[in-house]
Amino acid sequence: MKNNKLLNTFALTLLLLPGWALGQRNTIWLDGVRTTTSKGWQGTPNSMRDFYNYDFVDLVSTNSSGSQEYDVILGVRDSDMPTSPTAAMQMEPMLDNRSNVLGIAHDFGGLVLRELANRDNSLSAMILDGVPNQGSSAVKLATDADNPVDKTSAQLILENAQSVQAMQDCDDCNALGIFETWINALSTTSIDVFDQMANESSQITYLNDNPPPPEIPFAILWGSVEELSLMSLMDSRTSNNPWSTPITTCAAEAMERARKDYETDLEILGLISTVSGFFGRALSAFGEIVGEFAGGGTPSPGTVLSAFGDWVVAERSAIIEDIEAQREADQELARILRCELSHQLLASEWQFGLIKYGTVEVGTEEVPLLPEASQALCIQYCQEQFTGFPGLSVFGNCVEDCMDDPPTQTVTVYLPEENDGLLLKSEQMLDGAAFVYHLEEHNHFQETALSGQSSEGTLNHALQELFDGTAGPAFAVPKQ
Amino acid sequence: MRYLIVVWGLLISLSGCSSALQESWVVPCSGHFEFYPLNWEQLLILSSSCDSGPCIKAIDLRSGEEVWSLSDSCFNQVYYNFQPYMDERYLVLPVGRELICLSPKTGEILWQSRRSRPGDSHVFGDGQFVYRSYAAPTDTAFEWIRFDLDSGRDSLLLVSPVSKASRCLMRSPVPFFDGRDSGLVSPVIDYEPRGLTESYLLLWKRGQPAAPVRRTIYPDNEQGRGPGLPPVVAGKYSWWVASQDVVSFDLANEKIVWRVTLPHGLLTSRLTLHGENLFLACEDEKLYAIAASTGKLQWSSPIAGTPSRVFHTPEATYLIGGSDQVLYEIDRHNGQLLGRYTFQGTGRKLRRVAYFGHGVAVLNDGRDWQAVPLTALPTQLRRLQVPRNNRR
Repeated sequence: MKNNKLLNTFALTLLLLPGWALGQRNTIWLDGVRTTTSKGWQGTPNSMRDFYNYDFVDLVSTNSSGSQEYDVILGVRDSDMPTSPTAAMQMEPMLDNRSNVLGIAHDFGGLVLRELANRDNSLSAMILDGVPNQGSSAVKLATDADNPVDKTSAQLILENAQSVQAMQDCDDCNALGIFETWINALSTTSIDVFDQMANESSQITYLNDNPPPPEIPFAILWGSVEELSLMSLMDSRTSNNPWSTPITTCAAEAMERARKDYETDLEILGLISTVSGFFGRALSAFGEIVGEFAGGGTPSPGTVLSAFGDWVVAERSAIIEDIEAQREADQELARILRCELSHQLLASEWQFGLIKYGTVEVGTEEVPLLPEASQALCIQYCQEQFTGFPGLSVFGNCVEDCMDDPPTQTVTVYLPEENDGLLLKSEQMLDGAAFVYHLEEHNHFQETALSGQSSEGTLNHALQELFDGTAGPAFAVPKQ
Repeated sequence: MRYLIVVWGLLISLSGCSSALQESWVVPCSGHFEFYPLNWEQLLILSSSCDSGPCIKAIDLRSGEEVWSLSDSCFNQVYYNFQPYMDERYLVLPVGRELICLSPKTGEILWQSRRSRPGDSHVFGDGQFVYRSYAAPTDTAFEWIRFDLDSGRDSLLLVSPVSKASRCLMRSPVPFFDGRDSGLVSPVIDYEPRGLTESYLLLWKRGQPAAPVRRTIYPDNEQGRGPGLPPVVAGKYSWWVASQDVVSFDLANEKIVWRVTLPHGLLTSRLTLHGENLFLACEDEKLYAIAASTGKLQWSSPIAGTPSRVFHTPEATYLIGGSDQVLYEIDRHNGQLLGRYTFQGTGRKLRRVAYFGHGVAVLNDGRDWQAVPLTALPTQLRRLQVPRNNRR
């Protein structure tokens, strides 16, 4: 009997002190603003625990089965209002009597976590995944207008794209509608979390300057998508599974159908190619525009963007003229092309909206030199090889395939800063990180999710490296 | 008739020659877990998919034929960058609390050990024993446990006190013979949040069995840094990576030979020694070759971020860039880029976990392992034209 009592006491002790007696690691997983700038951690903590067998307690669960969630709306500390409640203050009691807590956060949750680390010694390390450590220019695009009655940059980008659709029914893919819903959620919501996330907000300034970057070890996971980041972003935001691609696939299939229907008509094929390659050509045009300025010194971002804007207007008008020339022959083709052009325009302008805030690297690159006589053949070959949004890099590889050992030439290339569709690389960085890991081909919403097939994607590798202790015991989580 | 027999014999002989050539083969990936394939002579052991679910398979490296397979749900827990022990008779897999010893020739489980606490994800052996570190039940010490490779019988070799095992990393001990004495050495990082982290090598020699010694190879620091990766040990010399530092340590004289600080550290890749050079694929997107004896930089070559482990053949050095998913072939002597490759066609991307050796590259696109003879890389893969100085 006495033994039973002892056993019960021991069991009670285990229940009261999760994460200590069993050797588990205490963790907290914080996400950002669900559905708007963060998909949320959802099943990832469970997968890391149940599938990969890491042994941790989730003290502030943010997943769907979650016990206690934190209130993102409380925001982070503002130097002007030092006593107002914040999300970090809300969470402090949850960390009472805890030690060696590992914080893992995405998006705005990372800013909350950083404030918590400044306030509470229970936290001993942080993994900051897709966190706007330097603020977010994209949020600024969506929320800032010169006057309250003026439209935001994002709304103007949307209007441009809508004007290209010219009342055509593009609801089958509805990329613009989904984008509109998203920017409205960003700009019209009453909470000021998005203002806090913007570049140079007083909250960001406070976190970075006072006190200076965290005293505890932290790791940075940063995401990027190569091209068409906006479509990738909207795909992930819309779907339950952030790795599915309904919008991209829908648009790609429409263009593929059109290509097949007109495969004998070289003129229309050329038009389809022009429309579907608009994004890539826009990237090239950006490079050329910067190049023209480069000889005379470094142009200001405003100058470059203005010149690029002129290029877009002229190019868009020319393409629309070509589309309209086809309308009499085929109404449906004209509709598909206008819808596609609007998608490409939206993606291009969003990308360049972000670039305006980022850096542009200038370098040289050896590229295949395609003789004029081979160009048509190669373009046709590439059209046959690739569908949807092939992008520049894919076309580059295709040309290499198309010709055996083509001659090369050295060209100047302009590389805009990488981004995850919402945050630039530099916005996700923070000096002093113990571990910086690039989540390649992860848009902002994908940064919290292991991909469909568990061994794909790199988030699981990043977390495994950290939990195994590669970057030191501060990030280590034992196996069960 | 005699001529016919001679001709027939010649044909048989020729067909025999042809079957000795490396074949291109495909084996499905596991879809649930993965690790860097393990090689012993002509055998390649890799994560795969069997009728019963995810499994480990042994493949004939030349033909791709399955030699054996083994399913066990615990394989799902394998850390993709773990360090098993393997020799002619034993393959020892460290998986959480489990230590599983297989026969690499048959796949038969020879013995299995399950302890109350998880052990390190790296194990090292010496042909007779395999060694693994575990946090002690008291949370105030780490233990070195020795497992007899024949029987699996375990014995406690050492208990080393630390401030708190749950905040400490002690990698499994690596056996060495320094020319005079044999022993074991473990890297330790004793992390103190918001305080000074102590990191050192724990060194124990059979000639001085009572007194393991601590030798500092990285200064105390507030960032929790220290030697977290498995070392390279060759004779009396050992080489360690601690944050951005590479340190050569003389195990016989117990002193640092040289220390080099690189612009960035090593995280996803691992330190290797080939010939007279150490190779480090670092997070600043460069592969460094450093003279093992002096620490002098021999060359550096641009690669991609989050790189794979580095593999060496007599001709070249190979790795896969995690951030660009491109295979790099580099001249080991001067760092010159010999080729960059990716899969043919669209939608297939090279994953970091791969194997190079015995004249073959075994590559992985997340769905299948594909063997490509190294001589056929330019024809069976898409050769990217020239080095590019950017991220693509």
